[in-house]
Amino acid sequence: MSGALDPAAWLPAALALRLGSIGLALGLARRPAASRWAALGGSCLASLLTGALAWSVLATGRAVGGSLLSHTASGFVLSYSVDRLSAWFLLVLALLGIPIAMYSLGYLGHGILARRSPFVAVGFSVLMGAVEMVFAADGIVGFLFAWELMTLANAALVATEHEVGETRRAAFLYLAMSHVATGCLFAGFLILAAAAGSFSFTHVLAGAPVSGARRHAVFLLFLAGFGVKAGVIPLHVWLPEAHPAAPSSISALMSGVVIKTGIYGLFRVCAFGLGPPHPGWGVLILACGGVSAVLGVLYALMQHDLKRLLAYHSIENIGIILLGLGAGMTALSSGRAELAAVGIAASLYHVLNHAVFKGLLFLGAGGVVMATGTRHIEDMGGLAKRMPWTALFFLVGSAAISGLPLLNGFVSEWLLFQAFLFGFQRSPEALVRFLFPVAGALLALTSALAAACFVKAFGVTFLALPRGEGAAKAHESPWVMLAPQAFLAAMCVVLGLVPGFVLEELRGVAASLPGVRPAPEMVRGLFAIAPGPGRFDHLTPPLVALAVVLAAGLAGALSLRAGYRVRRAPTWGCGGELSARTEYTATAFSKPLMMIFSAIYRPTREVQTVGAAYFPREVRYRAEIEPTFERFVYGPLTRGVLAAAERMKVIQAGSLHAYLAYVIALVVSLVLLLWWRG
Amino acid sequence: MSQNLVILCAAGMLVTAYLMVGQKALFVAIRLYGLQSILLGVVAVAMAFTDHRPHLLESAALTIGLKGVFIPWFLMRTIDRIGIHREIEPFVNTPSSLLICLGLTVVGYRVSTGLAAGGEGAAHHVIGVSLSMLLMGLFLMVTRRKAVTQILALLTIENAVFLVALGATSGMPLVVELGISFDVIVAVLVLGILVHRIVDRFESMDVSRLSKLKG
Repeated sequence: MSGALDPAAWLPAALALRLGSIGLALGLARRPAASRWAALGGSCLASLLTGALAWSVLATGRAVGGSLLSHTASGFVLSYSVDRLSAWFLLVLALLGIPIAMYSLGYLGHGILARRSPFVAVGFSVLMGAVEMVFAADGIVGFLFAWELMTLANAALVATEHEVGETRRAAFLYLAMSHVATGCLFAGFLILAAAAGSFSFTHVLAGAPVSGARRHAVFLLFLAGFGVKAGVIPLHVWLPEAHPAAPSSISALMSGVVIKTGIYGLFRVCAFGLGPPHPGWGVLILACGGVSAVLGVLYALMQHDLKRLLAYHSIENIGIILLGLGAGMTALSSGRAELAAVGIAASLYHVLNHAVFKGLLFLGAGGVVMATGTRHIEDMGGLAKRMPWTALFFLVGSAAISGLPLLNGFVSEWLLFQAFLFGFQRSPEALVRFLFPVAGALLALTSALAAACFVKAFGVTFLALPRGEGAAKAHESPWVMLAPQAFLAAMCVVLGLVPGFVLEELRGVAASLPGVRPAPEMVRGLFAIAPGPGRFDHLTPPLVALAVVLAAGLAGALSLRAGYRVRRAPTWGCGGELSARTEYTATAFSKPLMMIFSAIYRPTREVQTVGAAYFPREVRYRAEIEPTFERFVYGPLTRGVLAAAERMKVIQAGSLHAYLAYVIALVVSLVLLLWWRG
Repeated sequence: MSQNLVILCAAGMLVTAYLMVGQKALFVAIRLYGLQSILLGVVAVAMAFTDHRPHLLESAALTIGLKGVFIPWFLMRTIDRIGIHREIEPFVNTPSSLLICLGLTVVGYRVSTGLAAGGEGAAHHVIGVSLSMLLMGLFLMVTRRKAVTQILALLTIENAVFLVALGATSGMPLVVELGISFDVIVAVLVLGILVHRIVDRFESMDVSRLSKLKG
């Protein structure tokens, strides 16, 4: 193969296309609409190319690589390589990038200031390109460069509405935490590069150039570095601030793809780049995953800002992905290649699923926020009548993220359950026998709480009567914003009903990773989910779907036969009058859960009556949960850093003489060092 | 004979540096700098004859003319114009300063033996003197308050660097010499203007007051 048909040319072509469209868009910045079309259209085309490249790598199994630019004088070559793991993440990027770009065409025209929209479109394009480079880089220099470019573009996009103080704070928090994270990555990569004597991933990440305690230290550095980007608890605090602050289409991209770069890093480096994983590593990842999943969903339950709620669900889903990775690594460390393949496949499947349904939910939330002018779900309500299509797609997304059968969220969570059960049954190690059931129980709790949370989110937002003026006047989004949601909702269904198709590719991805050997029985036909060998039964979602449809039909027929008559009458209001004020609110809905988990939330509640004791004119209720991590982890940390800076200020005295004294002290001590050594 | 002359002049330069450290009158310090530069010129001339390197004569002329005459004259004129207090106000008193400089000289001399060219002979002394002067110049910069005295310290360091170039190598090419000379002139002019500005703003040359500029 050669020329345009050679997949090796597609990635440079996609990047060139992005660059060209960015240049064009910047040139047209005075005409916002044309500029948006240039940037987003170019991004769409480039994502198509990326998707095609990813697909060809997944289908043929042959890695594609090449050099993007080289500098002969310094011998520096910026090269890329797309193997199956990269291709999987690139596929996710392309699959979500195209609908989001299309949605942005409509959203950026109305949702934000028109003057600013070209820059958001350009920022989006830069971010897409940077993430693409992160997934495709095959050297430390290119990876870190793309990583930082991604961080900067993302921070700029978060700060789009920089007039709002909270937004500036969110962007700053994101930048600060990303800096620390990148510092960890730099340290880790430099240790590895020094040991391997090369900057190329093929040398650095093949086997383990370091061993013993240094290997553990490097693992922890990478875990911290990638964990911040992925939003793993307790490194997550930037995420619920930054996601809501960004424009909704950017939130969708951040949650769907950008935080997955952290997961990609954990896969590429922590799990498969540092030699065979130590048993402790898998346990640590499992613990991080379990904590992130449960706490993420618990905090999400208490949020009444729609986008913040979705942001906490991102943390939860990252937790689920890590549970899969942790199961895989634990299995790998005890040499169970087939079990590892199930965990890895579940994890990677969930990466795709989360991108699809969370992208969908954020796009829907963007439409809702644009239509109502508020992010607070207590001020919404009754939107199902006013925005029927958005409501339908949001419902599909909610069902998918809750892990309900027939949709994609169910498949990956089911696979993960199978991994835990399979591991429990087959592994004699006490550690696995203890940990896997616990992790499975946490996963089950998470799924149930997620379902509760989305009952709240969907019900309070879309059902009953509007509680605010914005909600009463809301209109359906334009088709250019609905079509991408329709596509993603359809993907939720397809990925849920035809898992075999995805599992076939995932088997290839898993097989390409060192130490992982997927069982041949993993894929049992197009429609089945089968975890592995043995007596574990496989599941065929279309059959389940058929059963559900039959059962529903049967129930319908029975109810018809029973002769129930449809009677239209006003809802009984206990003798009072029903209005939007008497609706079930989000606070009320989540209150029982707040009480059950009060040990975790540590809520403060305050009831205040205004007026006479027995005939109050007004009752005010306020409930807050304690921001545990912000207060007890980051509070002391911030204060410590500030106190240290205060002390260090003495050195930075602003006195010329002091600075000169530092110079002479340094010179004399260097001279004395020379003397002492020579 | 000329070897001895070189060593004598180098020692003289060191002595002028010590006198500058001990000196309280600003004008005398400037004249000492002029003397130091002339001694440097003599070292260059002596080396030009012993090593048969005639191009050193040119740099010697440049040194004597520029640093021995022009810069001292310019500095004194600047001080006259702004009409300030003509006394040096050090942070560290004179006896302690001299003791510290003694220590710096020991360090400089000791280090000079570590250099390839500084093992023995005249080069040993020249390099030892120049390293000591370099450290003393830095020390002067740290301990003097007035902007003019800091310019003097900087020029002393520059002389030291020139001397080390003479001692360790066979002297720099003329182009480099010219470049450095122009640098020195420009530096002195700029610093002169800066001193004017500082005095304008703060009604003093005391650079320690600059710390008030920080937030």
